[in-house]
Amino acid sequence: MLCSILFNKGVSDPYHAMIIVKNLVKSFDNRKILDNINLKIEKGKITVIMGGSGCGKSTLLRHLIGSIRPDSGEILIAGEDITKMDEDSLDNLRKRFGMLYQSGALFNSMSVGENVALPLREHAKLDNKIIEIIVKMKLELVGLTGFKDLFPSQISGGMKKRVALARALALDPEVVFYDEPGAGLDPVTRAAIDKLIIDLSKKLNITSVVVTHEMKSAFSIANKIAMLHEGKIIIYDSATEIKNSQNEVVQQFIAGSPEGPLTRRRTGKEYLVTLTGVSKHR
Amino acid sequence: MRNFCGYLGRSLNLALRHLGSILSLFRQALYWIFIAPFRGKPVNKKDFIGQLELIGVKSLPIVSFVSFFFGITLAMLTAYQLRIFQSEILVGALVGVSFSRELGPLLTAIVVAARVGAAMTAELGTMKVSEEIDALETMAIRPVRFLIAPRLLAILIMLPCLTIIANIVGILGGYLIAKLSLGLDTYYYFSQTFKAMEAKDLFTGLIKSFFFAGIIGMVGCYQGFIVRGGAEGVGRATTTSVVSSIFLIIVTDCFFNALFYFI
Ligand SMILES: Nc1ncnc2c1ncn2[C@@H]1O[C@H](COP(=O)(O)OP(=O)(O)OP(=O)(O)O)[C@@H](O)[C@H]1O
Ligand SMILES: [Mg+2]
Repeated sequence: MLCSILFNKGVSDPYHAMIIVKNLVKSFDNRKILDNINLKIEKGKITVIMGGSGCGKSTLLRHLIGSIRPDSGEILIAGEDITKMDEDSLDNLRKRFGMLYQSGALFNSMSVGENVALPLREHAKLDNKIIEIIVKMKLELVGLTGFKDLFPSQISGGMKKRVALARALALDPEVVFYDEPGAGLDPVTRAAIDKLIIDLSKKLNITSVVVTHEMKSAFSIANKIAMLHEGKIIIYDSATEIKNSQNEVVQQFIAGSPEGPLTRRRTGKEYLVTLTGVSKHR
Repeated sequence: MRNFCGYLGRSLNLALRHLGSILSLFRQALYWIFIAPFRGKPVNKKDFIGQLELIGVKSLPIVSFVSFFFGITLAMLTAYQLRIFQSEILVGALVGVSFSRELGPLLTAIVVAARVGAAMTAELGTMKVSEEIDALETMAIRPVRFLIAPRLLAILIMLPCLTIIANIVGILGGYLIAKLSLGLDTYYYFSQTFKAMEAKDLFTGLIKSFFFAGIIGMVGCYQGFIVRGGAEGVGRATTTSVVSSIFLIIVTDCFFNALFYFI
């Protein structure tokens, strides 16, 4: 409750940036995954992050929530640099976030209901009865009423995703990060989740950051779309602007075509270098 | 030679780094066990009770079996040698002292390391690769408090208890041989046993057992937390966990024996 009061202060300035990423760089084993990322995520809006498989979208999300510390750069959330925060302050911030992991990341030793109840039990001093009601509400929200007592091993992949979403929403977060919320869901459920994301953003003014591959849902939910390619944000704009973009990479991604700069065949010489590992040939 | 030294250096470096990380994790776990509960952050009760059961109740049969048969073996071995001096009556004393000082704690620790330590690594490792541990972190729930603290506390309590049971069962195993094959009198056997055993013997055994518990718990959890690379990684970590905790247990045991021997 307190959170939402604090949060609503910003309503007078709806375009206020919630998260600002400045010159973010991250390498894994000498491979630069994120190369100088700059991004402003607006409060109360839905920002979609697109990009090819393995280009670092999940890694970027993990930075935003403070799970990974960058090699360099800053991430300002509500004006504070989280890359330099200690764990206690990070925890305070994280209580106001929800994160939907790509794999769901449900606790396999707990039932569906317990999974959703966990953040409530840990952080909200609530009566068990109230917790139960909230759990029911959240499960209803994702269309899973009545599955409370099943275990993650007993439900389908798509259902796990939805339970994970219910868990991410348990504490009524101000910011929700979704890592491929629609992957593995049928079109109708996916559309329902998309609608839920839009509703949360419009009605509760939740800031959403959504990683997705689905062009259709990206265009239907996004206020802004960022496209990640080779460690850089190559375009960051509204959906219409993205559609009209002249950028070949963007166009290929939207069209989902196998021909284009993303998949350009290397020249014969480059191919030889890749195969043999020798850079000079006569 | 040069290569070998380089290899040795690198391994030592790696081992020390792991040791450093384990100790830092240990310190955090101790904080969550002993200090945080008084600041209104209790240990995860459900997990704690589950672990108590897993470690204590479910390991009891195997620990008892192993100690029982070892008691028998030890009695036969010593009887065989004592026969030379015609002093088989000392079997009880030998079995009692060996078990309470050395074999009870050591056997129990090794059995529990293979059973519980491995299970801890496998469970936490699976949680790690399925992003469950990351998810805890993003929910502002500290994994050390939520997962390591209950496991460590449970094993610190249960291993000494199991050790006491192992001592008793081992002595009973020895008694069986004394009675059946040497024909010693029951009362005489036990009075010999308890005359030889001092409170100090039992005490040093239990101290060791505490340290072994710390080793099994911390190595098991640590190996689970650093798993990388899917199911295969979990398998590898489980093996490493068992091997390294048994190794550390034996080294620690040797160290304590030296300590108790010289002081
Ligand atoms: N902890 C890590 N250690 C080493 N490399 C990593 C680590 N995490 C991610 N990577 C690497 O970073 C790259 C980006 O990974 P990431 O999971 O962010 O991709 P992604 O864009 O989310 O892909 P997908 O769409 O398939 O989910 C990958 O090449 C991966 O190998
Ligand atoms: Mg991903």
